[in-house]
Amino acid sequence: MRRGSLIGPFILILVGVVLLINNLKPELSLLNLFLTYWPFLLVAWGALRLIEILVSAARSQPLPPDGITTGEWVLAVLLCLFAAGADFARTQLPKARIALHGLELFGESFDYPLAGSVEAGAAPQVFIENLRGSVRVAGGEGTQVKVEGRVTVRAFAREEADKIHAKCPLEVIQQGDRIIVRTNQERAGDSGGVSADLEIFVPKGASVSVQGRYGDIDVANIDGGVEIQSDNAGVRLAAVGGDARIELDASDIVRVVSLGGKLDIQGRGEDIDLDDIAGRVTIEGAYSGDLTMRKLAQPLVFQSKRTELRVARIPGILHMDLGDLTAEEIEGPFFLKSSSRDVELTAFTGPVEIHLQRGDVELRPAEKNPRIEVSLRSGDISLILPEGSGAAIEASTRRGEIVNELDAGLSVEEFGEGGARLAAPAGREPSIRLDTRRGNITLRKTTAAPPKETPQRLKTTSV
Amino acid sequence: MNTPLVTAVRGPVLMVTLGALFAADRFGAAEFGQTWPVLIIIYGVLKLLERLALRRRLEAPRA
Repeated sequence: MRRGSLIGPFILILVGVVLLINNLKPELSLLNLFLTYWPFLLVAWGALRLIEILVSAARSQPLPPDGITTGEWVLAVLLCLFAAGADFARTQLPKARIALHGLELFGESFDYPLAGSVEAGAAPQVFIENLRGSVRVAGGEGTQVKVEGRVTVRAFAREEADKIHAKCPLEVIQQGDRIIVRTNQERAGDSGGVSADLEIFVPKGASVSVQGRYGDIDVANIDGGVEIQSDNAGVRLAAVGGDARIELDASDIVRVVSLGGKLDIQGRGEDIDLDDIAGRVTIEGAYSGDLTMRKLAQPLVFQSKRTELRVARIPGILHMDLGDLTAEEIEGPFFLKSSSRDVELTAFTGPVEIHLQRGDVELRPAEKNPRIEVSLRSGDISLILPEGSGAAIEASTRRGEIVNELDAGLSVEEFGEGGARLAAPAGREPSIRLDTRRGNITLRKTTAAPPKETPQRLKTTSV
Repeated sequence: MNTPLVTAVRGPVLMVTLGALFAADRFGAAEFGQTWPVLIIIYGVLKLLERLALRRRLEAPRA
């Protein structure tokens, strides 16, 4: 026999609290909160049950045969699947979010032209608020801020659309050297389907700040800084003179070309494409697509849940996706710490430090005596040094073999469980340290022809 | 008392562990893909304790 459990009332209270928060603070996204903290629901659920059982036991009441019924397990598994699925959708398919605005599927769309302008001076700060719809900002001659575009209203009839449109007029306001461009879509209330596509012309000296919820944002050809905040947007910046700060909950692409200042990107998205950035680049968050960086003149710092990457300068190119990191012509200090990723660095200078749980590493330094430190839990390391290098190398694998084609004078000894170790020459501090717990290490020289003598091998262990 | 405490407690303990592992995964401490065997270990330990408890109960009347 099962007594009434605490879980029922607990769930009621929780649902009540959640809905109350939703009503009082609509700016907090419940879905986001849930997706962030859902594991604690499981913990709370289990803990409550545990308390119940302990209380029953303390009172010497009969205990249920299983603390958590099959039905509850099914619910819990559904919860996990839902959370994992929604999280996947949130990071991998940012566009899925538009499905939440289901209203847009109904009715017809009615378009209204939109225009406004204001005298602004040579270097105004332009603030743009457009909840839904695209925003394009372009700098140019003159001292005016000029807005063109169209508003699209979804409604069942023209009169209804007219009413909704009248509620959210375009405002272009000047306050000192601040210019505010607002489409006021929030005034349409829950009727939802209002969006505005804007083209804004600003003086070249302007700095721009754009806030939106859904819609692509382009900014080009201005001398000031750019600040962008959106729930979901593809962002493209080109020829921006100042600093750029981009905060997104979702995006299919962030592309920045020719930035004069520093760049900060935060949030979630897919692809990031950077080219010719003069200032420091900081990227924080989760990005599931391809990251490509060319010509970064200042340090790059990338930080995600499972990857930490720092590079001093990227004169060449660095490409990274969820499985690989390849780079050519970069300058250290290079630091990478990641759970799982194959790494290939070519023609790099400066110290390199790599720590991976899993993944293969291939390094082709440009310098004859590079400083390199690699430690892997599992994966192969190959190091291809330029001709004439006399670097002191220390290498070890607990399980695997070392293939040394560099110098016959270096001796490889047994190590670990069927592994091998190569010690640095006596009396020399090693400048290259390679260590893998499980995997092979190959040391080679950059010669086009394959080496004549048979490589020095110790033991062949299948890994 | 027909069900031993260890048996009754098994479900909730596993549920709490599952939640903790997922939380660790979410906040980047350790991937669930790596930590999931903890669930098997805890299940095994609880089963073991259950055996011990049942044996003690069988032996108890004789003593």
